[in-house]
Amino acid sequence: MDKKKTLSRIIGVFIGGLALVCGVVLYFQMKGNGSGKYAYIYQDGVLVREIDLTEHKEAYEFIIEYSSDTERGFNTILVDNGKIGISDADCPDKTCQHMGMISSTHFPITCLPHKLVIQIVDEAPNQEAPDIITH
Amino acid sequence: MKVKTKRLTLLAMYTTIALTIFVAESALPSLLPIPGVKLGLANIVTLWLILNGTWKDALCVLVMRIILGSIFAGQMVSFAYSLAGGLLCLVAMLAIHHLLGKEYIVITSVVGAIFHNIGQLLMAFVILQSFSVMAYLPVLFISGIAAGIFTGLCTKATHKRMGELLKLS
Repeated sequence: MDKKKTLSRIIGVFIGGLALVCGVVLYFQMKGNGSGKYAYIYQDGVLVREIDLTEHKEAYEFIIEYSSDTERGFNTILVDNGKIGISDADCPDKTCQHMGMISSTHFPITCLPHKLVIQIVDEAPNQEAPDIITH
Repeated sequence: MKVKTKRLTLLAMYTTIALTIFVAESALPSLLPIPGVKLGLANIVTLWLILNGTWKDALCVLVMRIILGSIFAGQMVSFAYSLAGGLLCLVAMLAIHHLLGKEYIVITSVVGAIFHNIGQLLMAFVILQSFSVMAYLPVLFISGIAAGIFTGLCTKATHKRMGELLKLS
């Protein structure tokens, strides 16, 4: 039926456009060196740690624990020479671990089961960063 | 409420198939280390039911698969994300299918995948209360569109061969 065909074409163009826009956004997202000096660690939407990535020369680790009504767990955060990442976690999917170390503002590291978000920013702590919404 | 035995059995069978696909797929290593990037092969069953059954059948199997899948393959945390993504995906697919019909099942699948990602990201935004998860959106959309095309083609090929076998209504 012709009407369906034109509608399908419209939707198809929409989808193609969306893919294109995403590609462009992704390109710009990855482009800048996105350097950041600080890492903000959020748990349950609350800022729990502010890390200065260049503060210490040697690598160091610390553990953030998670406990809720239904489960408990931990994430071991590794800070090494301007990079931060999750080196160990007891969450079932380990996606957070596989993300590796990040040193740019492009993508955050998230551990969904433990409600953890690690975001690198460029502003110093105690200033409002633009991409944080807290309630 | 009277449920015919045949229907009940078939729905159980479809749930099992979807569940098996879901669990098996979640055991595979992820292509990208970003939460939410996956093939979504279990959606083939949902699409199949949209083609060969009513929306109630699709909804029933979807919800059962998500509940059981979260118990068997994931943690209960993923339940919220799967449910949000899955329901939004189903609604979108039913709407598109109603408009376009079974000839354009691939488009239905892609739109479903897009809305699945939207649902998941919305839920992540609600649960984590962090805007930075939106950084994943472009990657998720692109991988979702690709996965949607793939699963749509799989469903189309299967439907062509098995036709209206095991039709539910």
